[in-house]
Amino acid sequence: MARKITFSKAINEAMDIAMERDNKVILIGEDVAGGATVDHLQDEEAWGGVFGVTKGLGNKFGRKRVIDMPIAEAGYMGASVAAAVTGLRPISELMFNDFIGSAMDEIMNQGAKIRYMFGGKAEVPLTIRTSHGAGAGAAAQHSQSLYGMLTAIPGLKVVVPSNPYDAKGLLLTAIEDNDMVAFFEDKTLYSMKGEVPEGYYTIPLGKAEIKRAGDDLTIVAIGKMVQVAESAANQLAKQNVEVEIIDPRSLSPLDEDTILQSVEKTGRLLIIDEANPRCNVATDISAMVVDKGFDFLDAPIKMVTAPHAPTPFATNLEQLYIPRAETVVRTVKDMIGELTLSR
Amino acid sequence: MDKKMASWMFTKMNDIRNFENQVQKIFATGEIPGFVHLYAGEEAVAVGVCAHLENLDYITSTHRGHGHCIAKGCDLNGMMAEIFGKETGLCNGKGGSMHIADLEVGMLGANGIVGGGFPLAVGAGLSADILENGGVAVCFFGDGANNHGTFHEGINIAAALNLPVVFVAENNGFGEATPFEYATSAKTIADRAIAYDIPGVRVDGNDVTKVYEVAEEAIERARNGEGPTLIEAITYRTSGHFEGDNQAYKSESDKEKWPVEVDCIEQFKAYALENKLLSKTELEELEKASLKAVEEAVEFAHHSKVPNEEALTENVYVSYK
Amino acid sequence: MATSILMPKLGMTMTEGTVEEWLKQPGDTVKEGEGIVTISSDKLTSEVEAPADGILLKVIKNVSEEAEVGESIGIVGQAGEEVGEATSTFEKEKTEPTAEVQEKAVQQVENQSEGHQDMKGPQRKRRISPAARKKAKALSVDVSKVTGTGPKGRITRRDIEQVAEQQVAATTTEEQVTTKPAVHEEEAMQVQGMSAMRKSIAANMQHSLETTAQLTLHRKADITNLLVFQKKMRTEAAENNLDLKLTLTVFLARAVTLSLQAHPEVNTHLIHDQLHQFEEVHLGIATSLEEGLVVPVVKHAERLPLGSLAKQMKHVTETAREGKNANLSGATFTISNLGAQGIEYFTPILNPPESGILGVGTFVKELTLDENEQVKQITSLPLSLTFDHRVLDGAPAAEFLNTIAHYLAKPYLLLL
Repeated sequence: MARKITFSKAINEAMDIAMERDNKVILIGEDVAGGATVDHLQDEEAWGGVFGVTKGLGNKFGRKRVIDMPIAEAGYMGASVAAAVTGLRPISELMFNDFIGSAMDEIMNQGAKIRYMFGGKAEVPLTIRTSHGAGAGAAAQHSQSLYGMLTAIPGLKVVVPSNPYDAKGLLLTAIEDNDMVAFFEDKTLYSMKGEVPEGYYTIPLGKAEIKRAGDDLTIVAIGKMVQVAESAANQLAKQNVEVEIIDPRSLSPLDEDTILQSVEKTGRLLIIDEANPRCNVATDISAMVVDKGFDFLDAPIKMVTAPHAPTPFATNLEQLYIPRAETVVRTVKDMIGELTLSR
Repeated sequence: MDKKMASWMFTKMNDIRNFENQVQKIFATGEIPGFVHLYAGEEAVAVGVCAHLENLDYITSTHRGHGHCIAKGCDLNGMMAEIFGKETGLCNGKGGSMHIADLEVGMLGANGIVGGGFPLAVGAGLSADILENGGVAVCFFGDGANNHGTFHEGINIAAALNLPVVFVAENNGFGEATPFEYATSAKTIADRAIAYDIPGVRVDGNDVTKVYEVAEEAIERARNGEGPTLIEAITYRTSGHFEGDNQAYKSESDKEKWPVEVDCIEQFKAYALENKLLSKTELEELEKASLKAVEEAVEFAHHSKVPNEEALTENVYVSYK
Repeated sequence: MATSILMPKLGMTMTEGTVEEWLKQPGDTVKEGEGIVTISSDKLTSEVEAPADGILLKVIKNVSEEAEVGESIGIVGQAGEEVGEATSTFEKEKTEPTAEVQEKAVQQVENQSEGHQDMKGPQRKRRISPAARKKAKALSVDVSKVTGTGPKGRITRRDIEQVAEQQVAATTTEEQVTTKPAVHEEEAMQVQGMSAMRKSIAANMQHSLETTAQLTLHRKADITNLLVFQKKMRTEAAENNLDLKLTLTVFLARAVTLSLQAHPEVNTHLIHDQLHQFEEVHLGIATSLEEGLVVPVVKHAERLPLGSLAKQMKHVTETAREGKNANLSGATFTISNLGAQGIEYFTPILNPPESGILGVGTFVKELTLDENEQVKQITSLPLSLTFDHRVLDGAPAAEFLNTIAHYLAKPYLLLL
């Protein structure tokens, strides 16, 4: 059997390989090594990131390439942008995607627009790695899923992997990409184990993966929601409903063709997005399918998302907040209808 | 300082220490969701400053906010229940450790965003200034936040508009796992006051009497319309950045020295005895009462219900049903 | 009491940890707070302190073994103590949301468009999905004639495909029966437009089947006595020079009229959800012409004794055969007779808004056992009653049919 490692380790390996292959790749962020200048550490890292995702990289590549930053997201994100423009290929870690508020100008107004504003004369080969997602009890300011906000910005590529294999391949592609890529890691997936080949491989951006084939209904699921979709699909299969699950993997570019082809086949589309329901990726994909695949639709498009509320702290409320397989199963049944189900 | 104040300060410091010790123990069992950042070791700063504040005065806090909440008068039961995610919590279990708030006692909220408190404190100061209610706002922040843009923007606005705001840095030597000296270009945080033309004061943050004195002057200035002050209290967090932090960045000698030799509660105990503010018996009784209050808070939290599930979508201004 | 050493939670995402090294061995004395074991999570290694003074009684998780956060990895207690007593500090509270509340949350979360549609429900046009609409166009299916099986009656792509399949099947069958394959004998194929009457019949028949809930009951009526009675009446009429055409249908019409008066629920029109029940009986008599079917109506059949009924029936059918449009509407019930064509049972189609139509087949002679178990010959008449199940249920319809059979079996009652 192939080797199994965690999502966290897969991301770590991708950075390790990228840094080995190209000495222009640097890693920037808060405590990505930790304990900078502490005497007794003798330059050994203290943390390797608050989640341990960058563990070992500081020790291996040294503090000149694995650079701890003050808690100053605007400062180091803007610096990462310009470092990318001027010759480096930085990986800049934003500890929680919620902190994007502190670095938004640098991402939105600087990094995302430079290539366009400069008439195509500049490239921004920057990868922003950040954690997202509820389920860790981290409450309102550390649990959001904000990939939709960045997907809305022209000049940004957005990647949301759902498993260790994809995480490694997509991150290597993101780092090698000459444009700015925001790479979203669900913090509750870090301990997920999966088969990951050793060594170098890449997965193209803009290529969705069909995780499961089915004729009755298409589910597009983002990031961790793929697991929710798979759980729902297993329950539905017992009732002779075969759903097709699509993991878009990157939200910008978005693999519209794969989604449309699937909806043409099944006639029904449900999108699972952990983000809040207004102006999220689910509404965006829904609009795209209505626009380009209206005649394929055999039922209204449905979306299963978090409610229009910040992430609650209390565990019972947080469990309600995150989309669940039971909800998906019920929604799918509603979409297909009892009459159709029974024949 | 009189006996009443000494008694209040000793109680509050013990409340914070006992509270954090309990949270630490319970967190390790997995019963408390999410993560917690403990204030143990830094009690003297919150207590020394809040000793001068009334309910109409506001404070802003940080992710390490339990101590500020207790010093400002938040209910222990409500706090513990909040950390447990129960409906009897100060925020009905919806905020958690990093978002405890109680406007009735002037607590504008712990904060999950480093540097989030500066502009908020400026806003509270602006209210007090315009309403002319004599109130002041105090912004507690860690040394990590002094490198954040909001530090500079907030202090500059407060200074430029001469607002009644006191900025209190708790310099515990590390922003998360990164030493203060590495991340900060200035020699001290207090030095940065020069840039904004306001007083900058450094104080031993483990000596509650010294914090008390420095804070008294700064708050007095603010109340008198003389503008903001930047206080830098030197302290040490005896626990990690978050619970579970291995604290490899701390030296063994510091880890041994601070909690014992420089412990703020022990120091104040000696001071109170020496100055005959409190007797040994009185101190012991206060210690016991504090421990009991915290244990009761744990019991209260344990026996409280989780929030009504309809609370999920309440207080969002707009709901889409 | 023995105390468990629990796998601690190091940071928010840790769910399990691995035992790295036991710093104490079973039997060693430990002090509360003293390092006893090191454990590691994905990212960190940390020392776990002894939870109490005593002796390390038991190692539950050996080096390299994993344990979930909060799980016991070892036990500290006093010498000789039973290790089974150790308990973890807290029982985790179950916070699984109830299904009911989940449902509520879900309702808030789901997309809104359906809800808005519901509010306008009655005024909205037919529900049909875009895919079904496109498919209907491609397959030339008239969506107004398709019943939707999707949620809220929405017509789905599969509904259209099924109707299209049925159409193809029907057309194919029809073609095979009525025309020869065009490829082989082109000259044999005729393409004709529909006559006005054919179009009208087509529309009426289709309308009937689409808008009502038709059901047909069949039974035989013993008309042995009726035939004798008919013969007798005919003889009497001829002897008295009465110009009466006393067909079996006339006796049937009389029997039906009397039965309708006994069962007025069958003598009912359903119009816009309202039941119009009639005391008078206007009897439609389905009549086959060369151009097609017409239904002349005998008004107030209830007022007509057998002779008058016979006259009136002759009059209206003749008028119809002459192509006059008089008396062709206003029936409350219809009789259709295919007996002359040798048909026994069939399923006549209602003539809305009527709720019933009686199909009459050809009478047959058969053997049966009488009450004394003796074989006897009887003549029986097949009857087929189609009724609108929206208006009445099977049992009253059956009773109505039985009443007719009763009158036919005891024909003297027809004179009353």
